[in-house]
Amino acid sequence: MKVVDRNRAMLDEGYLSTYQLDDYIVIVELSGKKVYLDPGEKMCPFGSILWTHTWTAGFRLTDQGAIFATTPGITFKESTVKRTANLDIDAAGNVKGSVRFAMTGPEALYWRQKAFMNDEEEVKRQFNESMHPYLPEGVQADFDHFIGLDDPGVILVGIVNISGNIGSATGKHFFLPGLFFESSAKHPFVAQEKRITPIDVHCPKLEQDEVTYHLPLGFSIESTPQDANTVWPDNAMLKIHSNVKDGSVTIIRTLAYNFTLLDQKDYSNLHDFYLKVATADQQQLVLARAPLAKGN
Amino acid sequence: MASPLSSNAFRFPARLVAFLLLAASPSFASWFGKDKQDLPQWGLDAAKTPTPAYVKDAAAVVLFDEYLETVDAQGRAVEREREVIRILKPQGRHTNCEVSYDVDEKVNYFREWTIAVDQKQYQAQDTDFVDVGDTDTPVMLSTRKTRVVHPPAADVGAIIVCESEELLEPYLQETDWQIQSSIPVVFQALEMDLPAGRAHSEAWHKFTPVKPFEVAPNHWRWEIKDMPALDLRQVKSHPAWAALAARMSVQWGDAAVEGKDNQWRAIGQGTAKLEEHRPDPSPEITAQTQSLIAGAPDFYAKLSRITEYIQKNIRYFIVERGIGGLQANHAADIFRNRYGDCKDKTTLLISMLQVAGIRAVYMPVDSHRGVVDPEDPSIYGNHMITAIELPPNVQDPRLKAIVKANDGKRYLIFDPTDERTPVGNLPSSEQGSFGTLAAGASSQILALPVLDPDANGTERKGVFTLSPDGVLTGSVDTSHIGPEGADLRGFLKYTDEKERREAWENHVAETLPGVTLDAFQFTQPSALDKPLEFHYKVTVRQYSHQAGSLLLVRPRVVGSLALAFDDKPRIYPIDLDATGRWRDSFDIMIPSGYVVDETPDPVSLDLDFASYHSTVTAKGNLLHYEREYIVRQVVIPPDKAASFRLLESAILSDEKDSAVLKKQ
Repeated sequence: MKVVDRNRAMLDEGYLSTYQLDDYIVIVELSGKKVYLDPGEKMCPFGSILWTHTWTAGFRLTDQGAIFATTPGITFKESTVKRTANLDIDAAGNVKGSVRFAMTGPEALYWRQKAFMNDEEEVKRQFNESMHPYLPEGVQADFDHFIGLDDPGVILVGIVNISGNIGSATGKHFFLPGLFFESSAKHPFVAQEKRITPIDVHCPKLEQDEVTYHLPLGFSIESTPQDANTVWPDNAMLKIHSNVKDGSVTIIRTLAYNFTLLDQKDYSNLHDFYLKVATADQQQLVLARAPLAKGN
Repeated sequence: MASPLSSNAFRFPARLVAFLLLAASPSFASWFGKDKQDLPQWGLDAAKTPTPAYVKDAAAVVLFDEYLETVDAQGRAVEREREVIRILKPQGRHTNCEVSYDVDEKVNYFREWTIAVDQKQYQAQDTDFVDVGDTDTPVMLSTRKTRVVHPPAADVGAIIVCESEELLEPYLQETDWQIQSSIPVVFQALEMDLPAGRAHSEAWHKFTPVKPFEVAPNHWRWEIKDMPALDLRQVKSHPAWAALAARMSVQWGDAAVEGKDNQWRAIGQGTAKLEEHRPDPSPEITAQTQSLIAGAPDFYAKLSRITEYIQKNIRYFIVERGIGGLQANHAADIFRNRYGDCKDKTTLLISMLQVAGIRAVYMPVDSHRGVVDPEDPSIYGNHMITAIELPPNVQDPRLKAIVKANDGKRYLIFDPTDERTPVGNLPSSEQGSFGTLAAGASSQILALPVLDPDANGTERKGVFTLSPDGVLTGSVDTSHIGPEGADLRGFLKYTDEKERREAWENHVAETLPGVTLDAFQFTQPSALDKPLEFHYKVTVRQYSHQAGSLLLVRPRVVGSLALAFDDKPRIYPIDLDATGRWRDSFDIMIPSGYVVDETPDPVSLDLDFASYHSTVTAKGNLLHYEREYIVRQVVIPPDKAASFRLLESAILSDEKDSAVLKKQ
């Protein structure tokens, strides 16, 4: 099947030009079931295709000749990023710890394909740079190593060391970003109230963050980010939950969206959903300084 | 060969080039490929060089790079380059050889061989060579081209061997040897084969001089081993790459004299000679100038009317053909056509000032601070500005960018290519740099001034109201002077209303995510020395954050002054970008029913190169924030990295601090 690269264009069936078509994919019938394969995309796992070839259209060869056809999309379960962070915070706000990134689907394929054009050191450097927008101000990332970079059949894992200074303090309180990876992130669709063109988010995605702050001595937790359970039916959902335990707090955030293309008439719902996400993501973790013991 | 410097209308086609990923030579299809030749022995020998350990994670390594410049009796050079490169990583596959040439040059030959990983040998064919036009600058027509070879079988582990020979332009008697690159170089050499009796001089930039040996009478050879790569990708706030990269220059013309002062004098005299009579005023120039200065009450008025005329009426456009990269057009042509490059603008300015009775001279510089080095007398650079001689009786505080030459004369340094920085001031990127005063026998290298903080900066005032549901609304008024104001005038010039509104909204959103720009206006006075003002209104949802019973509010509402920094050991100077004074003052009316419970501590930091002070106060239902940031130097040495980190971390911390509100 010859298809349009969705990162470049959408097929216009009324425009009779084969120049619209970019790439070939393969459809194999196995036990009566169609399996879509992407042999031109190295490291693309069996049974999946590059995101630019999903939810697109083109010509498919059949016994009756070439026909217009579309390709299937992927679900958020096939496109995941899980970030697990363990961070030690001292009383001056210095942070030290590590983050474990676990990636499947398009995100994993993106980095694996990077490794063909560059060596692993360069991929690490680029991965580090890609993290910057997601780190709170004052926090630095130093990529350590990948696991599974050369095996498309496994989850791709990246280990990143974290250091720097985080949070802000007043005389009585110490504030930490409630949602570590989102406090500085630019949320899409928030600033723009109206939209006159359709929306393409490339592919659905499931983001799961589990961030554990190990708190400094002399501080108690005054408040954690409020639990959230925001749902845009059939399209997206956000969940936030905090667990406090023995001098540490773990904040779990799950954001999933299961759409790829949206009509502009759906924009107001999209905008509203992301406004709620942005609000929830700006929450703080508030620590209170323990009162000093009175001397004799 | 390719120039490591971007064109800014004054083009010195640097002879020996920085290979981003390498450089060799020539053009003309019949000179390449088909004349099949065996891989030369020097290439085979160099290919045996082991990859040294210091190469670390470089994408490729130059094993051997040798230039031979053969100068004839007239001083014209033929350059041969031999180069051997090993590809080490997948991203090194883009490594290739290239040769830059213009109309007055001729590529005699350009060959490339590859020793593949399996030791098979390949030679590049005609179809592996391509000519690339000099099209990076949209406002330029240039005849310069670069011939690039795409080596066959270039994969990890392969070795690329290139050889080229080029007859160089007849009007340059200087070569610049770029000895440091973005990849390491194991062995490199430069040979100068000079005619009997012809003198030469040499100078080095960011490198301990190496003594040459005379391989034959007046045939000199310099060798350098184990040059590390210069990789600044992970270095925050670093000077320009070309300011740090090691290079060496050799003169064999008039500047081949003893002593750096004499060399700089000869270089300045060379520029003056090249431009001789170019600024001669035509009757039309004379008439225009006289009309401009009629009734001017003082020196400043006379001067600023002329400089603003050129800034506003002569469009910046480069036409570069051969020597046109170095030599300006005639003032009469520039005035008639109403366009020109930096040399042309300087030429017309000198011409008009001459009509007004003010003497001015050319000053070649580089648009990046630190590239022109007083220790390396050379025409290496990419820009031309103007040095205007100030009469002894002129003492005007508006004329800030003044330097004194060693003959006691005072010169006002002015860049007529910068269409928005007023005369008297100087673009920040040129401050703290060096330029060649091309003033006949008084020619010399001069340090360009670093201006007082009061010559540049921004004042920002904001008044806001915070609603109980966390929405912040308010207005911001900003006033910008000096180079900062000039940059924003440029932003206004090159955007339409829609673009500038979007760009401004994005700019504000960097510190106020989710902001909506409710109104946006600017006031741009015609006079360049008057402040540029912006007035805008914003709405920000979720500005404050509920945390249990507390409401957290960031008193520093908009704008960031922090520069990027990290904790890594520092070996390079730190570029602070610009001197200046920045002040913020924000008032936030807090929601009724709330009181300010806590405010962040004040910040007060005084260093020799900068200071930062901020305070947050609460009075009734008003939360007031103000800060002042002053930068006094443009570059600080690496041993001040700890102070720089202290400063930036204080700014960052202050910018993200919150005030705590609680319900009454």
